[in-house]
Amino acid sequence: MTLEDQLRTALQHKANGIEPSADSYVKLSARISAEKPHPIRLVDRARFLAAAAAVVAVLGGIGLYVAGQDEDGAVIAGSPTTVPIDETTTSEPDDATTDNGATAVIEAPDLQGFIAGPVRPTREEAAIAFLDLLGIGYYDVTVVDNRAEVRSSTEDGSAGSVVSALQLARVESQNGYAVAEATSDSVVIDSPVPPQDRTYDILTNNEIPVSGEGTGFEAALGVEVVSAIDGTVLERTGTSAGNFGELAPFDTTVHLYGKGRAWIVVRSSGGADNVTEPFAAVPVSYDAPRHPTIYTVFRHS
Amino acid sequence: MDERTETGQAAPTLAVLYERHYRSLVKLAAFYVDDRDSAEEIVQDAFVKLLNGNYKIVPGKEGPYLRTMVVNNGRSALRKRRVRRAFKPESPGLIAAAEEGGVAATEHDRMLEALRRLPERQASVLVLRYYEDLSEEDIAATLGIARGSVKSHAHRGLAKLAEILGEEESP
Repeated sequence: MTLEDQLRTALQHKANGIEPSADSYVKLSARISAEKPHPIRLVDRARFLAAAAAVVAVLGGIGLYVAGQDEDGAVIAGSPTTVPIDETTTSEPDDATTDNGATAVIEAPDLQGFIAGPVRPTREEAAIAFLDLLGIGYYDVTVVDNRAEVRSSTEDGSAGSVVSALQLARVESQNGYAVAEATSDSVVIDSPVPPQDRTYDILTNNEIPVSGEGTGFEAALGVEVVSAIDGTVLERTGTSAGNFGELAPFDTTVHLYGKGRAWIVVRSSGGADNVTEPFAAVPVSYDAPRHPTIYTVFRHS
Repeated sequence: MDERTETGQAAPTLAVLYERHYRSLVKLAAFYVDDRDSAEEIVQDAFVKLLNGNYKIVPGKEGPYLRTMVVNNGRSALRKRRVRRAFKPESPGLIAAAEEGGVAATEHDRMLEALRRLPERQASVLVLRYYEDLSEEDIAATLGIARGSVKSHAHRGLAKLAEILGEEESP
């Protein structure tokens, strides 16, 4: 039996063991009904948001009064130019909450050698240092276990949706934490692969393919190579992917010269100003040929 | 009740789409995630986006659209799972687990475990080719890559599979 036949048989065997649950149609039907969009007119939307904010504030106040100090939350301060949202709005996934409602913090495992930094004593500090390094504007960052959700600012300065998530890791050798990777629903970087999936440690070529899938306003994505040492933008280019809301592949090339560590950052765009855009980033370590330098020689006549 | 598309053709209802595609898509999604519930969630996400989203799908193309969504969501789930596994002790997943009923790991399990170790795009190409029996053109459309890339991913994926399985056999 050839390898292809073996593979085909194995896949079929596996598929034969999987059947949808008996109530899957009921569940699906309920989800579609529940999640059917209900358009809200702009003027109503503003009133709705104001009312919702008021309700959250009142309930939050009551909650704090009743629960005492139940706010060892993960929401940390927002960007310097905006006001952080109320701490009571911290959201936690179900699996991060114990029976008595307290947050169960899972220790971040070691990054095991690959450190793009910045390394900081706490997860929150590591997340903020990373965002500052990359020059990413943001509204607030919510850290739950080893994941930091970056929430955008909106055009009116309020908190928006989650644009990207940072995977945090422990750096045992420096007794701190660092960001291992940034991911987003709007931009997925397939190449370079994240450190934990690599079979190599250091890139040795000048030309580095950057590819994946993404979506952006007028199908535009921004690609940057940012020094992991000081945040200098070493290269800035653009590529095209799917038009706004539609994922499509992108494929471009960036260049690395000499030796160092950098973040390859791909940013989406929603077409609005002063709004945090979704982004994905992977760290690379490189030791490539140096940039060819042009020397100008003056000769005395 | 059918809704009309821009071309005037009737868009299939949920019941029709479910009947035609749901089961096979859950099986497809299961190659990417650890359990049936996660596989169903991936498929349901695709259905919700198709039926509630503002998408203009050419009538008759709902199946390929759903498949693309499932593969994309599956790859995303796989990537997240790999990130988690890189930082946490490995838990036996559906693909890696031995057959239920206490039977020891079989040749199928070894093959699937080897498949799971491939880069996600190579694995996706192989699944779509050898499980879904899609043509190179359909695989290219599903993954949003060139036909030539499908060939090269399939070639490299098979070579890598052979290498992994060969390594396991040698002491």
